[in-house]
Amino acid sequence: MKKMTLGQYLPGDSLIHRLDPRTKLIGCMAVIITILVNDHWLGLCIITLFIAMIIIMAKIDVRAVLRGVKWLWLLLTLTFFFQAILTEGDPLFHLGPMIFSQEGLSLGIITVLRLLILYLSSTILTMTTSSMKLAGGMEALLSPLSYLRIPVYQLAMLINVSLRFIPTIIEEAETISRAQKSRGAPFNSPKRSIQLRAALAVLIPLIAASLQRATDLAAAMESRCYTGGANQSRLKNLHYGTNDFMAFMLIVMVCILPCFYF
Amino acid sequence: MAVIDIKNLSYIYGPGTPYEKKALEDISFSVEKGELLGIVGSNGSGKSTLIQHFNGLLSPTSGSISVLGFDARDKKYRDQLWQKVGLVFQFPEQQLFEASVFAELAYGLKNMGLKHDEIEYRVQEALESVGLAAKQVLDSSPLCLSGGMRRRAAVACILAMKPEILVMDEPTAGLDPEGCAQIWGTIKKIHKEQGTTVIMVSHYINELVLLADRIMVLENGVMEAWGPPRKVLGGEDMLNIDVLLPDYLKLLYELKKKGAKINTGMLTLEEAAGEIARILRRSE
Repeated sequence: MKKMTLGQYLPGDSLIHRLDPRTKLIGCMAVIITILVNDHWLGLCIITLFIAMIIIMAKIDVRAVLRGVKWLWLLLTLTFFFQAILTEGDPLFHLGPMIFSQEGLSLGIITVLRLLILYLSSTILTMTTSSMKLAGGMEALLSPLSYLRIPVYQLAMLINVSLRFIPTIIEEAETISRAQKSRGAPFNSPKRSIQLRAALAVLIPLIAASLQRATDLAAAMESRCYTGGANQSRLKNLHYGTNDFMAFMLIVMVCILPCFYF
Repeated sequence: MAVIDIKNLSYIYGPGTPYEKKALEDISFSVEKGELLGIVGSNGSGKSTLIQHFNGLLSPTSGSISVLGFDARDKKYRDQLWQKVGLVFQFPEQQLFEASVFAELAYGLKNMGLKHDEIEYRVQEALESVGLAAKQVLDSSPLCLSGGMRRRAAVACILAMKPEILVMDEPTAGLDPEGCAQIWGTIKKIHKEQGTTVIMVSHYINELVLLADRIMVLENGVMEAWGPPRKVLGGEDMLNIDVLLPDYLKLLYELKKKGAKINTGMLTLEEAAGEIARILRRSE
């Protein structure tokens, strides 16, 4: 109901939405690693096309996503600008004392593309995967670690619970800060120390409420016999289908093969 | 004299995003000085959004609002409206944060820039008006009070600022009958003795009809009915609205829907019983 938050899950029924969360997690990681390792422009182009294809398939309104993040544009523009003028090479043209070199321009474009892909790939993951599925996927991917006596299931429950309560806490923070504003809390005071005290008036009730909620949740879970073991069953088991296999092959083709060729 | 004047007010959450949601649509009304206005509506009807316009927390997406004679869309005026329009949020006890009840009540007063003597006097007065013994609670932590007392202390925080208009969002929600009665007692006292304009929000209409000078019924962000309680209840507007009505009113409306010539503008159980008896006598 409130302002749209970054990468918020948008329920949908596209092919991308239906993919197994494990496929999407691996895919996202593969894309990120590839663009960090591989800096050949052709490889970047392929991945850019790949991301564009996914956006179209997921039926996400990408303009709304990009419009929502002003700081991203600032970062991209600055990155491009500084790469372009600070890289030495064949001068192409100049604006006043600043010289734009050919190498600078191409490096600028590549860096901007990389940042954009980094941002988009993780955003697409969280926009098309509900937090429940995301946590389930993470749990499944990390489960081999349980042989090393790492409590994967508890960690997954931890992630699950925290993801679940983020929107609740954001909403609560908003309500409390409005309530304190109604009592004249000086959030906009020019003095830092006063601002800090005003922030405390929001933080203290927020933490108190969170602790209370955690206690209630623990009681609710225990009263339903939760013991934290690995034998939890879930309503919908993860299912690895043909689509996932195909998506996986595509990821291999797009991300791993270019590493050998370029 | 109208203290709040609203014309064609609409409010949209997150315009231009996929989450765009119309919360209020084309609302127009005015609140007279010294009246007790009740706003009724089910969850999500836009009540809470509407009242946040009164003290400048929200500014309308379109339409106009003036509060105490000035345009409340003006950012500068909006930022100081909290001193004149006291807004008690739903479950206000969740916003307490100071170490003592005194500090809690003094918070708003300090932000108003009052002197220490004045603050002490007002804190005492506000605690008395909500029925808390100042000597007993002044130095204790708000968290040590009982639920009902905490609610009253939170209400006192706003009362101490002596607002010209007092707005309360479901002040009795979740309280036991005794706690409800105490809150209502306080509101009546403030309204009668100090002549404060009071705006009460509730989703139970029977709490409001007995006290309110006028009531407004909101449904899905649209104002469905507006006027003195008897007129609103007696009119046709209420027949298809899903507000939590007391049982006797539900019965009257059912009878009316079945074709009985009955006056539904009854405020209490006794009045409703009398009206039904009258109908029965006539049909014999």
